Order: sequence, then C-alpha cells, then structure tokens
Amino acid sequence: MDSPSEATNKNADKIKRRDFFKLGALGAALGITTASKATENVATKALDKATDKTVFNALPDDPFNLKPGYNYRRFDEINTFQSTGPMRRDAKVIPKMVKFIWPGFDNDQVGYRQVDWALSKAGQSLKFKMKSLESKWEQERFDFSMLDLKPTDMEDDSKKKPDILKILEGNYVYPEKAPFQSKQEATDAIKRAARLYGADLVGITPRDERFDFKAFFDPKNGRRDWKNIPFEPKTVIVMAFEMDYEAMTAAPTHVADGATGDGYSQMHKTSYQMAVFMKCLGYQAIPSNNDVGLSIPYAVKAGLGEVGRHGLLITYKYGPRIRLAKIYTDFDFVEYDKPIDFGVQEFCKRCMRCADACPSNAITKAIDPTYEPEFKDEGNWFVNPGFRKYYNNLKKCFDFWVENGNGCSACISVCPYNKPDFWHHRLVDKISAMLPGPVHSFMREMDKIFGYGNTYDEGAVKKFWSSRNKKYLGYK
Amino acid sequence: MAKQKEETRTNALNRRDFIKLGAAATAAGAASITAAQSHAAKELAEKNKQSEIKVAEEPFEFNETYKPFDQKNNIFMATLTGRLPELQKKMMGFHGPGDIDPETPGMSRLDYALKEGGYAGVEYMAPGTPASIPNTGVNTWKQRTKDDKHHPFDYQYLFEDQYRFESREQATNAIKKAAKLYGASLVGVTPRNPKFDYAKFIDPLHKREFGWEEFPFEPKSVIVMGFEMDYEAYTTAPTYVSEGGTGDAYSRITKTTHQMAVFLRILGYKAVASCNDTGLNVPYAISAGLGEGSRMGLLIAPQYGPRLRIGKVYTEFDFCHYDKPIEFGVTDFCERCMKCADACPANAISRDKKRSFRPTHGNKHSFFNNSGVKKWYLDAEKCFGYWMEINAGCGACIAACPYNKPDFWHHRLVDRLTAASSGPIHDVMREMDDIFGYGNTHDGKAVKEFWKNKDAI
Repeated sequence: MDSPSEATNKNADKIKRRDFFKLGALGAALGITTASKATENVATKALDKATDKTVFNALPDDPFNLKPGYNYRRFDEINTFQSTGPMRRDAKVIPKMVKFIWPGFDNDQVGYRQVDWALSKAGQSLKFKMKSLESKWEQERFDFSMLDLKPTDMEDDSKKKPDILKILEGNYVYPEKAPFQSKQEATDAIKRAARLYGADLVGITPRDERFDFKAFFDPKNGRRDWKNIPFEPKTVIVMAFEMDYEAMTAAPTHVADGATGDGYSQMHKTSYQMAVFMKCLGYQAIPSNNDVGLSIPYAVKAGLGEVGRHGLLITYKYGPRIRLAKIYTDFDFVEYDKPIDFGVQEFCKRCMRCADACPSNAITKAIDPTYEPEFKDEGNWFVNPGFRKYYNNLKKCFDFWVENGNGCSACISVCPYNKPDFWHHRLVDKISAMLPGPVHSFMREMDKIFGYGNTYDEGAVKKFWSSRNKKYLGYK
Repeated sequence: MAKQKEETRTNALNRRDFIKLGAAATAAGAASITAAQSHAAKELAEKNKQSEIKVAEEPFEFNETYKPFDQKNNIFMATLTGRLPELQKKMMGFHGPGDIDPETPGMSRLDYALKEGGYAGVEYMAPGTPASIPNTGVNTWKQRTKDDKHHPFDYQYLFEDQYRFESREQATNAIKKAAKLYGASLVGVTPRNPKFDYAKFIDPLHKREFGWEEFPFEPKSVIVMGFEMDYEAYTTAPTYVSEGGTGDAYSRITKTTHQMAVFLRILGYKAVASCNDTGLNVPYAISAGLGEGSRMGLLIAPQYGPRLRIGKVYTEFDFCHYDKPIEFGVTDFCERCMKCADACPANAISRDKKRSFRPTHGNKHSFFNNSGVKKWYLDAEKCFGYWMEINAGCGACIAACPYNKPDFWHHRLVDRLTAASSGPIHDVMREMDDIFGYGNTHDGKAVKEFWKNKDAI
C-alpha cells in the first residue's frame, strides 16, 4: 500500500517529456487566443482533458497515515470549538466568548463597519435558525411542531401541528424503498439532486467510524451518544460549497465572514434537502454539518481533495475556499468515490504562506507533517492525535477570532490554491502537481508577486462593495 | 399610448442597428469553439444595450376598476377555505405520496423524492409562503429587539442605531451586493406601491382575516430578487423533476430573503422577508426593472425568460436609488407567439391577441383574477385543477416559452433581434423555436437527460 507521500513522489517521477510537451503545446495554443472569460473556459476544459491522467492519482481507499501501533481514539464533539465545550473545559474561554459574540463594529474602519458586520451576521442567519434545533439527529428533528422558531417568531397556535400543513410535509421515511437498476444510477441520481439543491462538489464514501464523534455535546440536552442516533449509518454523502472569491479576498474582515456565513446557510439548506430526498427514497438519513463526525477526513475519503497545512480541505477546483456538509444514511447501493492526490502535500511542505499570514501564529511551520502536535499548550484537548498531518493550535486561532470580533479565514485567502477559476491558474496548478519540491518555493513567490493572497486589504473590501463589473439586472 | 410605443420600437430597428447586429454575429460565427459563445453574447449585449432594452416609464395601464388584490381570492386560499370545494377535495391528496407512477418518466419515486427535497427548505423555514401565507417561520413580521434575543449568538434583531450610507447609490449597491452574495440571480429596488400589496390577509387554517394594521411598520421600499431555476430540470415539465427545480428555487428564496431581512435589521431598518405572500411579485418585479409581464402571466426577464421565481423584502429603508422598469418587446412577441397557450395542458392561458382590462376566459368564477389592469388573464381554476390531476405543479408554459433558453450567444442574438423587430417576424421566430426542438413538454427523454449527471461533480 502506498503512503500518501510515496504516491506524491511518483507524481514527480511522472514528469516526462511527453507531458511537458503536451502542457507546452496547450499553453501556446491558448496563449494566442485573447484572454476572455469565454476562451478561458474552453482552455480550462481542454487542459483538464489533456492532463487528467497525468495529474490526478487515485489513492488507496484508506489514504490516512496512522502512527504504527498508536491507540487512536475517536474524537469527542465536546472538544470542538463549534460546541460550547470549551466553555466547560476552560473557564478562561468564557469571557472571551462573551466578547466574541458581542457586536463589534467600527464605522471608521473599512471592513469592520456596521454594513460589513451586517453582511457577515445575515450571511450566517440560517445557520443559527436551523442549528438552534439542537436535538440534531432524531428523525423528526425538523418536524413542523418542533420548528423551534420560538413563540416570538411563530404565532402561538403554530405549536400544534395543523392538518393542512401536515400534507405539505415530505420529511419522513417512506415505507417502501425506491428501486435503482444499478449502483451507478443511484450515484448519479444522488449527485444530480445535490447539485440541484446547490452543492458544488459531491462525493460518496462508506461510513468510517474513526471519523465519527465518539460522543456528542449539545448545549441544550448535554451529553448524547450514538444510542441517540436512530439507525446504523452505512454511507456518508459529502458535499462542498464554494464561498465567494471576492468576499474572501477581504479576509479577515467582516466581509470575508459574510462569505463564510453564507456558506454555512447553504450547507444547512442543501444538507437538509438531501436528507429529505433520501427519506423520500425510503432510507434513513441525517443532515450533518460540523456535527456528528469530522468533515475533512470524510471529504478526503470521498475524493473531494487533500488536506493542506492549515488543516483545511484543498479541492482542485476551488482550493480551500469551500465549506463542507454531509449526510449520514443507511443507503449503500452506490458506487463509492476514491480519494485523490494532486500534489498538495508536497506543495504545502514548502509554501508556508498560510503559516506566514496567520495573525495568531497558530499554524505550524514544521516542514513535514507529524503524528502529534509539536506545541505544548496547557491541555491540548482540541487536538485529535494519531494521524500524520499538520497540527495547528486552535486556541491561538480562536484568540484571534475574539480579538477580530469575527471569524478570520486569512489562511483561506492567502492559500495559492485559492484562485478564481481562470485557465492559467489551472495550468499552474497542473504544473505544480507534477513538479517536485524547489519549484514550489518559486511558485509561492510568483503568487505573491502577482498580488494574490493579501490580507488586511482595504482595497479588497472596497472592491467587494463596488458596483464595477457587477451584474444585478440580467441584461447588463 | 401602446401604439406609440410600438412605433418607437419599429423605428429603433434602423440600419445602424442591423449592421451592428450583423457584424457581431459574423464575428461570433467565425469563432467556432463553443465557449467563445458566451464571450460573443457579452459583446453583443454590450453593443446593443442601448438600442434594445429601454426604460419603460409607464409599464402598467390601469382603469378605474382596479383594486388591490385580497389575499383570500388567491387560488390556494380559495381552495383551502372551501370556496372551490371540488378542488379542495383534490388538494387534500396533493403533496402527499400521491400517484407515484414508475412507468411515466418524471413521475417515479426518485423524481418525487427530488421534488420533496426541493421544497424541504421552504417548508421547514417558512411553511405556506409559496401559497401566499404571510408571517410564518422566518418570514415573520415581528421585529425583535435586543431584549428578545433567542440565545447568546442571536444577532438577528433590530439594531437601535441606524447605519448611514454616504449616498443613495452606495446604499443601493450595498443592498444588491449582499443579495448577490446570498444567492439572488437578479436584484432590483423599487418604492413600495400599495396597489401591488394585498388589500387584506387571511390565515386559511383559522379563516381569520386581518389587514395592514398588524404589519409592524410602514414599508417604503421593496427589494425584489429573481432566482433562476435549473434549465435542465425545467425541460422535463410538467413532472416531479421540474417541480424539484421549482421547490429548490422556493427554498433559495426563503434563505436569501431571510438573510436580506436580517441584513437590513442589523443596519437598523425594519424589514420583512416575503415570498408569494404580502404582495404581488410580478408587478413588483416589473416595477423594479427585472423584466416584463407576459401572456402566461409570469415575469419574463431578459436573461432567463420566465424560468425564474421571485422573492422580496419589505423595508422602511428608503435612502436608495430606485430602478426603472424596462421593456424589450415581450408584449409584442406574446401577441403572436401563443406557445404557452398551445402547450398548456389545462387550456388555462388566454388566446386573445390583445391584452384586456378584464378576464375573458368565461369561467363563472373570476375572483382569483385581479382585474382593472391591462394584461392577459389566466383561468387559475383550470390551471390549479391540472396540478391536482398530476399531483405536482406544472410549469409547461415556462418550458414552452421561446424566451426560456440556456444562455448561448445565438439565443441572445435572436432575443435582441426579436426586441428590435416587430409583428410578423415574431411568427417566424416562434416557428423556428419549434423546429429547433425547444419548448417540448411531456418529454420523457428530458427526464433521462436530467438524471444522467453529465457535468459530473
């Protein structure tokens, strides 16, 4: 079995004259056409077709590298920053949390004005609407009578389930199961439905208990465990949602957090719709966002991308500028996707742009991934050790969120894989995937020279809000 | 007045325009690669922006009988409250598992699941809003303040201090940019117009009627947003697959309009998200410059044709720059086209050549029509009756409409020519549309195409 790094090295061996020639010819052919958005699309497609086999390596079904002999234990949800676990684990976090949630805007500071802040909070408004249903995984979670749009939001009689609205419901498991002729048909159907509901990437993978939370923590109901999950999941459908490029260039301001927040609202909408879709097909399903299990390893398994130094998933098409959601289901008559490798591990060893840009120095600068964190913080309860990866100090990360009055995303914004989808960026990505070490350092510098990945960029905030080149009416 | 408009449009088709269109077509034709198409479309749009899409100062013609619409006359409300008892009986079976028919393409369990998944978002977040029920779920009328925080992370209340924009342009732009970020395909801002608001409201579950006195503020502006529906799903109309496209659009409307209402409240301005409730979407969208009205009664936008759904936000904010209505020849085209009327399985769409101030469909009921404004009147009872028959919304008129096309450059060219020409040429164009195989309904192949997941993700 190949380890991921061995697979990457094979990548390097693969740069043969023929490949270079192919890329070169493509570049020349594309160069003569004028660089319009339209030709870029053609170029991107041609490039993808010509180099598909060269660049993407299929990895073994289990691409993870666990320390030999290590007694890996599943991660407990109480240790995520997403739950309010930290408040219980660490009393010092409480005042920080209070400071963090208090509206922080400054109308004299571009990117932190009330309008920027409103963009960010309204972006995530559905996340809290839907997330406030903390009985997260019961089948009837979204039952109308449990809407949890509290009496202040709903007229009082909405607490009872009205008969006429009952007929509007599709959210229950059908007694009979939908017939599929083949696994491929089922896979296509699931992916097409996910796309209709707004997913940008979809992969399907078997459930892997290592990446499910050992136990759950829910601020309303306290500790919960797998006994509260109404069925035995067999499959996880993983979906990625692109976040707005332009907003993300404004990291770490409220504007970038607007893209993050809208990403969360999209996740909640689509994952819920997908769960209803599976239920209508006669299978049990739970929508899951950052809860129930770890999204990133599941996304790796489902072939959506590789993990970067910053610990985030890097997809080929959008880089780390995505968010992830998943659906747990007992359906398993599907073709599962394979993990992929396109050279991210190798690139991250030399790049360090995220580590350099991180305002709180939370991202490790170790060249190689490790099995355990290098930092010794008081209580590393937030790390999930055992697997070979880059370990980052989330406490420091969160400290900056508190200071910033919002999420950060500087690491997403600076990442050289985060680019708008123009053909020459794809070409560069392809070349990066095929080239070994030192060339990557050069590419990292080129990225800077071309002005990508600035943070604290007031110009980016202004550009985001500017009306130049924006289409709001269809014909303009 | 209408006559005069027609003349202006005919005059607009002068030599210069033809040459421009011709040159653009030649230039675009020379590039044989498919993807040069959208570039060509852009170029074409740029060249012809001024001559084909005009500002329409008076897009509506009212007569003295016009009254704001009463929500209880909406076809869904009339059915639910028992004013159309036969439809009510059928409706109780609607939206349930219904007659899932594995033999009919687009009506199998798989297709049904797609439809329910599509609607799941709206029915969870704001149930009943597509059927015109106001003030439910996240479309609540309540303007919560800081004292009603739901939980420590709840920021969705009305802020006390109002944010001041430097200029009206800046404000409109910020609103539009936020709407785009949250997923709107088109956005326009228009003053509130009580003519287009429901005169009175009804809670059909309890048959309680109430008026604007329960609305928490005096709205001054309406932000109107268009949401494109999946082209491929809509080629299958009328099936559960096209209903999946409809349902997902409603779910996106609910998401985006709620986010926009929160955005405005945090800026310190009262706001209420609205789907098909509270006021009439089509006239508001016309006022906000998103498109024109049509024979089938739906909005036709230059970019998506009728393949879009509309959501809106009522707000007290008014320091903004309002959009102007537009026209690009839809009324003329509709006078001759009739493709929607031909495709309508229920014969609900008018075949009158000219628009009128009153319904002409001859149904003894016409309370569901809002008469007194010049337009084509739909027999909503027939239309809705057909939905009940197939256990799904229909959408055949949207699929059949020649303005509903994927966004390829030659379609834009044809649309531009259509806008610039008048009368008889439109007959030819309608025929061409048929010959090229667009606008089929009840098309089993389209369902198979949809599920193939060709552009694999």
